[in-house]
Amino acid sequence: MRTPTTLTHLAAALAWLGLAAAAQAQTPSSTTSSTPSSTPAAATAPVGNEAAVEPAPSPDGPTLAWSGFGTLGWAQSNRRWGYQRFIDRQGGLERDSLLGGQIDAQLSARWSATLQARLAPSDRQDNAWDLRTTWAFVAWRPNNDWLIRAGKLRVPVYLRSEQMDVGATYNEARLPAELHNIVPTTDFTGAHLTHSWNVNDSDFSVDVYKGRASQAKRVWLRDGAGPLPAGAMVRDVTTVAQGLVATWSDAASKVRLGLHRVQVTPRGDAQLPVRPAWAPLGPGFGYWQTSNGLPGPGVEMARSIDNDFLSLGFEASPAAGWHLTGEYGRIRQRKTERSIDAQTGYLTLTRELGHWSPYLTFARLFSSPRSREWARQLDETTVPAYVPGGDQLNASMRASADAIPVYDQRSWAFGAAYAVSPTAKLKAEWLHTRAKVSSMFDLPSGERLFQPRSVDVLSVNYSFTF
Amino acid sequence: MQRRAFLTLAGGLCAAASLVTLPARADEGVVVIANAPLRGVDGEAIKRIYGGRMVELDGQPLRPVQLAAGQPLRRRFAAAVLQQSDEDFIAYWTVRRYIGKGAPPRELASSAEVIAHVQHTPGAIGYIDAADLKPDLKPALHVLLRR
Repeated sequence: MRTPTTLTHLAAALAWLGLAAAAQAQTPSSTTSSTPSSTPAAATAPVGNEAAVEPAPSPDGPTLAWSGFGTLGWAQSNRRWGYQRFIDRQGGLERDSLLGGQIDAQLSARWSATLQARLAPSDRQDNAWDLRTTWAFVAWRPNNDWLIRAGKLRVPVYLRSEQMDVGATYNEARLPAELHNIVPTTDFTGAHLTHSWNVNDSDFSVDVYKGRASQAKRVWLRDGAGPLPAGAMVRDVTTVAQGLVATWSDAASKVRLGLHRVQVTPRGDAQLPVRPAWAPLGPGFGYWQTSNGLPGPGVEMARSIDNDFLSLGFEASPAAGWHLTGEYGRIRQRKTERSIDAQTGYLTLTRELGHWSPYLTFARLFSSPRSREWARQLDETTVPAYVPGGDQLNASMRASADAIPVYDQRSWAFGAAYAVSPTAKLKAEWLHTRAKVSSMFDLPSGERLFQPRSVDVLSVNYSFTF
Repeated sequence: MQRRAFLTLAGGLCAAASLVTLPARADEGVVVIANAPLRGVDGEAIKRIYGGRMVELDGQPLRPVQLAAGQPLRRRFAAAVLQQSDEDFIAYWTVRRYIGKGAPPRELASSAEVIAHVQHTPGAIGYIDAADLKPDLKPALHVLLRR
């Protein structure tokens, strides 16, 4: 059950901040120095008359710049079941709304620090919001070519992974879920090194990063299984992410290639089944054993999952006022056959017409045949009712099928952004998703996993920075 | 309004506190001033400095400052030197800030503040109207705008 009071207050706060942002759209941030930059006398002194100009204090001391961002967004679908956690027929603010603040401290000419916090729906509970630190790092920039950051950072998986929370920086109502909802981790605490080369009018950079994070992984269970109730279930995991990203860009285009590896380990002593084991129960029938707590020959277990991730993206302007953005991702599993193993990609064509930016996006996500086959086997294998404990065995297989991130879906999104100011956008989008199977659907009890379904989503967002 | 920019590097300026006489008539151009040896700096380099991609030159950390958003001179500077609208410049820094690549150049309220700041801050870079350029300033780059 949602919390209307909290949502109402949040909506009011977001609306107020959004209006304030629009009002001060020409002054998107505030910078203060430990020493004031000038005195009123300096500001009014005759220019060029050095004797009359009050000497400005040295600004070599630390300076602070604060800023904020937010989105107030409504999304509603034509389905009773949930899509992307929060979108259903009732509609709601939770899918896209958030509020964040950031402080950038310039500690010296070469050292700086950034702290960012975000108030958004909790990763751990569907009906709660929490305040999380999303950036907290120290940066050292010894020269033009090197940038070294250490602390809590965003994983640079996709072109816009690092700014995903800041809706005012892109035109889409939300970035394609087909890519952005399947990454094994979004944050890490560790180190991120960037080396840049300037070649004529273009830039080439290489990023290397490594770090760990604590994450909450959500699984939707259609039916309960043993002690697990139906509905959302959260598992705590620890991720260790490392990667290499190469980016080439000029004024009008960008190409980016990333290679990433994310190791996901359940918290505590928990282990992950490598693959189900067939357990015969009688002549011609049996079931898929998914846990060593169930009867059968035993299940091979692994302590962790290794995800290898390839990402390739580009931005281009094929003609004046036209922008084309595309990304492709391939995520592969090592050690288990039951985690996400998929290919994904999207293309977005945007037309700039003054303040308006209409766009069209096509996105596709499909799991490997092996992943789909395991999910299908687990979902469609049933133990006859006359077998003692058959219901429990069936429930264990259905729950295990739910736990496999499996997809075969495509989406079309048509929308437009209206730039209220350089730092605020009003957006509207219609999204149509069709899927033969999708773990982004929170299906009700008794529904089959594999069945053609579609969902239409209307979204209206106001995104701003201030 | 379409403007063409002509860049003239005054160069070698760090040591000389008084010097360079440049044509300075109202609305004739934007002058980039710096308290740094900007040898070899051209319009492209100024773009990189204001875009946060060049932070030092010959070991000297650079600290660009700018006028507050909406000021006519800031718009002229963005169009003539940065070759983009001020709105695009704000949008550029909005992205850059939120991908953890720093904060935009510090904003000052007036040309007088820019002059005072640059004169007293090693590595500082600012811009003023060509008409405000006086012989006791340190011009680094002179941008002429032809309407």
